[in-house]
Amino acid sequence: MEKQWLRLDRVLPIALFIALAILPCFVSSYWIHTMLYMLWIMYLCTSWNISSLPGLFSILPSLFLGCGAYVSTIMWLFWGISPWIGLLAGAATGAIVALIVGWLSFRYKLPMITFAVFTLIICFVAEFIMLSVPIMGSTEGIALMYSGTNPAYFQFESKLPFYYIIFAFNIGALFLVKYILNSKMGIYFRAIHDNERVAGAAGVNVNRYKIIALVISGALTAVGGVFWAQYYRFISPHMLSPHFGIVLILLTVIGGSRTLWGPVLGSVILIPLGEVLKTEFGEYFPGLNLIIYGVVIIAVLLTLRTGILPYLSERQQKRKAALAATSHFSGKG
Amino acid sequence: MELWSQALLIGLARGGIYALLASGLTLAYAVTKQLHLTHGNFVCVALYLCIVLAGSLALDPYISVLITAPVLFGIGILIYRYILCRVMDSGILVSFQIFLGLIFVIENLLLGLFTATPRLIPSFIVLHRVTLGHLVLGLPHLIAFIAALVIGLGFYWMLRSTDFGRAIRAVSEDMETASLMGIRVRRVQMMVWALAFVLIAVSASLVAPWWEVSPFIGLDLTLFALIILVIGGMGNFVGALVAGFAMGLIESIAGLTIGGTMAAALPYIIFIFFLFFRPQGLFRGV
Repeated sequence: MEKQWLRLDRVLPIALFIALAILPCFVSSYWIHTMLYMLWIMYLCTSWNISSLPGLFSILPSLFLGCGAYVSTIMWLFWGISPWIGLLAGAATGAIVALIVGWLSFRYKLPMITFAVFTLIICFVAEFIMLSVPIMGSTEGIALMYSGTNPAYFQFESKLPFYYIIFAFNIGALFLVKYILNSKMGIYFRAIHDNERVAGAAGVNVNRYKIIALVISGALTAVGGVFWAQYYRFISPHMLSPHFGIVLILLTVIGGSRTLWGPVLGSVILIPLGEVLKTEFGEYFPGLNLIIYGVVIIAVLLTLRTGILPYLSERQQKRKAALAATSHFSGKG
Repeated sequence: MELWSQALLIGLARGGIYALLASGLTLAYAVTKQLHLTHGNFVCVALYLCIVLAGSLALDPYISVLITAPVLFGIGILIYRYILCRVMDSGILVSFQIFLGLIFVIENLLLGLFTATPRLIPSFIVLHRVTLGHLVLGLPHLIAFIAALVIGLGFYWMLRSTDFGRAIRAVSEDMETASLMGIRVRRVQMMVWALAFVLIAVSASLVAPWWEVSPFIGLDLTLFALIILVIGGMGNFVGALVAGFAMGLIESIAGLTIGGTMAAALPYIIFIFFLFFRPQGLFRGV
């Protein structure tokens, strides 16, 4: 019983990623786009998940996304710098923004919910600012120029190279999360999440590790923004609207935040479903996919109180404990 | 002069609405310690109810409050009993995430039913003007301001001098002790939660003739109410009233003097200032 679960736990994700690696060679362009979108969302969810490791609830993903997209695009359009370098610059900008926001809010010890509201409001302000700056396209957004396939400038005619790039990003992000979870830092994160005061008393520099989590998450999300700007070839201030960030958070929470596979599970189940609904019913009922996401998270949280994966592992642990207790009892008897 | 007096009145009217919304939110927070993130979305729901009533029964928005208020009262009780009550013990984050999901459900249901076109609800008094000497004032704004002021003062009286008000204050100060003193905590929480929804219905009717409604203004409204909540002091009723009126005035005066994006961003900037220099807000306690 126990071994079977262990195997399922390892085999399923690997099978999923092998399938994701092979499938695009056989399916239509529409499905490649859908799967690419799913992988992109999955990557962003994983990035947000890192910030949730020490128990932060930041609604910043859309801000980081905008940082990456705007920085790389502006560097390219004004100075002709390759988006590959823009990718690094975007990541650095995301990290710096995260550093500032984190430093400000943790220095003043904002309570968790106040921090969430604060980040929500920062996104609103950033959207306001971007909507009114004419150099950056203001309300109309910026369409990126395109001049045929050019790997040095992150431009490809077909969707496949983009697909495999985001695929690689995903693998990298997941390995990073796994590494963090197993490292000393992961233990600090868990300690901070469980009880901040006790962690501080035990000698963990709470603010520093919270900021580190936010900075890693910010840099990774910004990279996702650069990718999307290059793939979609259009950016607008509406990327910064907190709604999109909230979708990412909901998907992660459904799967289970603070777990390695939670964000993957949430986006693998819900994004294809949402995309199909969008193409089928988008004309009569726009936003049906968002309704489904909302209903699913309400149902999951009302019945399980946490995401799917944390619930399963909790149940597993309980069963193990019960098993141990009975064997102990019978051993004595 | 006339421009200024009109801007002041509009500011006071907006401020009154903010005060009503924020005071509902603050009372709900004080007794349940949960943040109601769909507060603004239910303003949209109430406004669209007014639209439906105006379309089908030709009801004036000021009269349709007689229908929307009981409906929202019911919704409030349902949400308390079937959502909030079940997750209240699991910490604030669970209910926060549930309400985040509910935002999407409400917004997109409204989008599907009523499309994204902004709408106004006609009222027979919308074009009337009041003249005081040589000042000309819009009647809907005047009504909103006076109604908000009266309701706010009425709630204040209720909190101070009725048994129910004392029960609310007791629950918000210490739930456990309050229940030991024989107060039925769950019932008080449910009633306050439903009352906050009634306030939503009332403010929706008050703004119906002069605010354009679209399915997506909900989150903005919630944020405004939250800003006022933080500035007034989390859970402080008088603070929410004062901060609400002040915020409306600041907004309309800034619109007149600075104008443009800066004025629109000013409330958020004030909020950030407060967060870092006076995070406990203007007032403390209930």
